[in-house]
Amino acid sequence: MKVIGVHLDRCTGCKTCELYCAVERGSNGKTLFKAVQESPAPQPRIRVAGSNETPLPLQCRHCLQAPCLDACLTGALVRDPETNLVIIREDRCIACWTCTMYCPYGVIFPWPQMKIALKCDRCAYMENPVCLEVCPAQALELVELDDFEKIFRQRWQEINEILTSSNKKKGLLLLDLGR
Amino acid sequence: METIHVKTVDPVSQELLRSAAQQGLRLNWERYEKLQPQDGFLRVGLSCPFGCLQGPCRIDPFGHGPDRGLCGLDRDGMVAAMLLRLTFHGALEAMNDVSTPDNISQISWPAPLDEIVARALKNLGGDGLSLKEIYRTAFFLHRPMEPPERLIVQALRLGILTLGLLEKRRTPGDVRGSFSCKAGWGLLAGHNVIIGICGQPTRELIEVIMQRVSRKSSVPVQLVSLGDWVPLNDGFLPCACTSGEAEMLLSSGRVNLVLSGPGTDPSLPEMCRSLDIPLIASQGLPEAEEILRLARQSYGVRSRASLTPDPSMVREARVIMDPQGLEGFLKRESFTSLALLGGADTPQQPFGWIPVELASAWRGEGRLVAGWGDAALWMIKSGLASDGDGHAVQILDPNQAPLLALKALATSGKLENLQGVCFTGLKACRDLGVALGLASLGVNVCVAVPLPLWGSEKVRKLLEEKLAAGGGILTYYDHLPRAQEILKWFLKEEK
Repeated sequence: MKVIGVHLDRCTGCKTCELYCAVERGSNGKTLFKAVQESPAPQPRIRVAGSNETPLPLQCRHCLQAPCLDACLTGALVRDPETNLVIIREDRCIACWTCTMYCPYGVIFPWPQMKIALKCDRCAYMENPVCLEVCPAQALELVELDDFEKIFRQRWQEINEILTSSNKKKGLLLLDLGR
Repeated sequence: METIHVKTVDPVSQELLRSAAQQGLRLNWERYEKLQPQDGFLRVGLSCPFGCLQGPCRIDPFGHGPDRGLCGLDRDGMVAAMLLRLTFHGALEAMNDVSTPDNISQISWPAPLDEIVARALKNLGGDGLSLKEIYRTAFFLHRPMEPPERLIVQALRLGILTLGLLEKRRTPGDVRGSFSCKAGWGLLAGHNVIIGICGQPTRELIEVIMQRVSRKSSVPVQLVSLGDWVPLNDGFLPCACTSGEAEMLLSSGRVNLVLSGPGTDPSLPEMCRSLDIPLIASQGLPEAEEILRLARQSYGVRSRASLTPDPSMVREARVIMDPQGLEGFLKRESFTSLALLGGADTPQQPFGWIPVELASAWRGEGRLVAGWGDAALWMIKSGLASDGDGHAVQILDPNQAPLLALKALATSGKLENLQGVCFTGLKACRDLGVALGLASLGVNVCVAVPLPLWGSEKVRKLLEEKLAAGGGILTYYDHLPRAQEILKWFLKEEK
């Protein structure tokens, strides 16, 4: 299963992902100029939390054991058998917001005006998620879940190399990362 | 998401696009596609334009994020200030073109434009226009303290000022009558040494080069413009392409040397470097002999030319350089309406599509078309400006149009016959200033590219009301309009 990975060191908190997620997935017009005129205002499925110094783009993790699936009263939240993604069937949602309370990451959002819960479905029916396409810093990346371990090891190695390089500052502690 | 379907209507350009893709060259289209989507907050006007270092402040257009900047400025203030900042830059660009701007204490207008301007200014604060407007605007944009209404009025006043500066730009007695201009890919036919001119090198340098090349030589040398209107003493330099197609032209390998002047896009020197085309900047005060020597040397080295255009693909048109020239034409022809089409190429629309389609559709019985800029070059290339009958598109001096047309119509008492002015593409802020200035004077103006005004409904309404008070209309779209849509706009405005 592919999920959206976030390079936190690249994210600048510009919220371009939020903007175009709302345009592409939340609006009828599908263009920015049309979307900003729509009522109710289109809402994004991704939210950038945190401060300017430590922005954190939040979207659904598609947990392997997803509490929201058990919490949903009407069966609106289901796991897609083909992609393994947790998706919401908006026609079945009764806006009880139970899922929003059960989500451990707080990435299911209520949309009271439309009486549905909003969550990222990783743009399952598109070639690539729109947030990935629009991110100017390329902070978002689509990765296989199994590849995460490999990516972490690579990053640990990079940090080790930086810390052990010849021009390191005197007195810098060498952290035993990745071992 | 906005996507690109068709890049240009010109079959030769399409061929060059394919050829460039095979060579692995990246043209303006590739850059445009890679840039998409461009900064959304800026596009709707919700990125704070004030020169403040506390920001950048950006407001969420959908209301779930920040709704005010750090100083407390709301969306209406930001969008209005964005409009003002753009027109401010436009006025500065126009001021730069005036040789002695310091001497302009008060903008004067020739009759009968003076009455029209006075009427318009009455709706916009009353005072006369001077360069003080520039300083006042700079003060407005210093800190966000003025309400949106005030900023919009100031933007409209600056629009009129931009028109006034364009009027000042042409000193009386400078240029009279009409100039000739050739355009088309056919200029590159034959075995000539081709020197491409981009930007605005000094007229003296080009004249000296032309005198030198007129002497007998084994291989003739030809100077062509890469889309810029370069005035000479008795005409414009022939244009091989429009400004949007300049990179495509360079990728063809037919140009042996490029002489660049002020106003050249950075992409052209870059393209020259990647294709090993010698590039000389006119700012370095090069010698004409040296330019010719390098061009001939490059001609001897370069043999790769993927473009072999038909020599017949050249059209010639007369460019009207003063209002009297257009007045004479309007007196000769019986017409009920005149549509003005002009502006720069923009990758947001297929090159040449709107000018050619609209001009072809509009001209006819009692309907005339006049054009300027890249749009005019497209009309010349497609033969619309060189027909023998009275329905040929009239090409206007790119530095004065559409002010030139307005003056001619006002003098001949046919201002009510002006159907509308359509800007097919905006490149410089000056063009936006001209569009706003014309709309402020009561003209129906249409802009075929989206303006960054969609972040505030209040600002859009205020702008509409202010312009309506003076009898003007500024139409802009929340999408890229098709030619048919703009034609309908012209028909709707038909009196």
